[in-house]
Amino acid sequence: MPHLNAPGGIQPPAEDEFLGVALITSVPSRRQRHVAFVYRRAAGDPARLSHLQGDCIFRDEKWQSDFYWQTVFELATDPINRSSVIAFLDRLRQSEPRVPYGFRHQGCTFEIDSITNVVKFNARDPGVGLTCATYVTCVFESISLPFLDATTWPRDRDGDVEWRDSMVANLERSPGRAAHAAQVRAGTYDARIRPEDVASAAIQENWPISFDRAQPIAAEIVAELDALLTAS
Amino acid sequence: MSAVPWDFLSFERTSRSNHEDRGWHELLRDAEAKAAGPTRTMWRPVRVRAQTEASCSALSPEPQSLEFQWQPHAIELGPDRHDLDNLSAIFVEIDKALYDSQFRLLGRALATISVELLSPQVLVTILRATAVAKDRVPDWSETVRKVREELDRRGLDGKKILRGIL
Repeated sequence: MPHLNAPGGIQPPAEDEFLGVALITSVPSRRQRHVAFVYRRAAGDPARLSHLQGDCIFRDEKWQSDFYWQTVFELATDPINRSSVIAFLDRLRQSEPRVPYGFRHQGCTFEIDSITNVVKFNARDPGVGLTCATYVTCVFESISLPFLDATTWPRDRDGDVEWRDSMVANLERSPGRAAHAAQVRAGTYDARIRPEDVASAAIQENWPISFDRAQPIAAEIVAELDALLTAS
Repeated sequence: MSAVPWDFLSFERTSRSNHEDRGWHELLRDAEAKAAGPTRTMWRPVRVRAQTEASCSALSPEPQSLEFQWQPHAIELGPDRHDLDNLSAIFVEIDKALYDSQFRLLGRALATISVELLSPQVLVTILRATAVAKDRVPDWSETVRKVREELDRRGLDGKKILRGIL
């Protein structure tokens, strides 16, 4: 049985607040996945995606039906904390923070500008930033809701070095981002949390999720997505 | 004394009127040592505007109380209802108080909250918004205890709901 609901199929529930996770193969040639929050503020509101689409490309937009998605089950039975998460996402939606891409998020903060009430992203150290996956983890961290235990994630799994090189090369090609790219390349990095790791953790219960619990379902999710790519 | 970028400092604002506060120079020395050490995840704002002793006297007097603007509407909604805009406002107001290092005022304001009048969503959002500064907000743990007792009294699983905070 697939872990994720297929695009174009069942829509995210419309009757109430909703929080889920959404996944898409963003670069089929590299089997590169991309993860996002899918949420609904209230019954009757459109479903929305909240995600870091790329370097300094924070997006909060109406639901796109080409994403696979699933309910965040831990919070489906915990509407109290679900509301806090959605309220935080809503603050980000209103603020559209500029979030740099990076492999290390230690030292990053979201902060409220006390004059404009706008949430800004403050990367305290040069070269830090988020990926689509660590954006999701950091939203939960920011409200002290234990989601996954990043200390159990291994460094430099197969493909991680190549992936980092590829991402930095993209940054280097981006207009005006050479300095940031150089800092990212020269800096240290956290163990990579992959989009499918986040999706796997998000659909399991009894948080926080360790790598050993996330990995089997993440592998199944990847297999599901790859099979669909092959079939299409 | 070497200059420390002001946005790397994280300490309570020194008040001349509070003789229990540590001196400005002691705090700055500690902040330098902290800035030189390994960075730690600091997701929410716990930084303050740097001040010199000379500028303290030029500051407007510190407010004596913090009144939450979200609170009247939350009380109006009652203990069984919430709305998202109100929860968002909680994040905004508390973040602003933290940004302005109003830790004592925030602690005092939290201490006056009537937990029985507010929805669980409001109570939990308050704690999740302040958790990042729990070591700096006076009597924060007492607020946690009150909220947990209230959640349990309403038949909710306070321990599970407050995971990450307890």
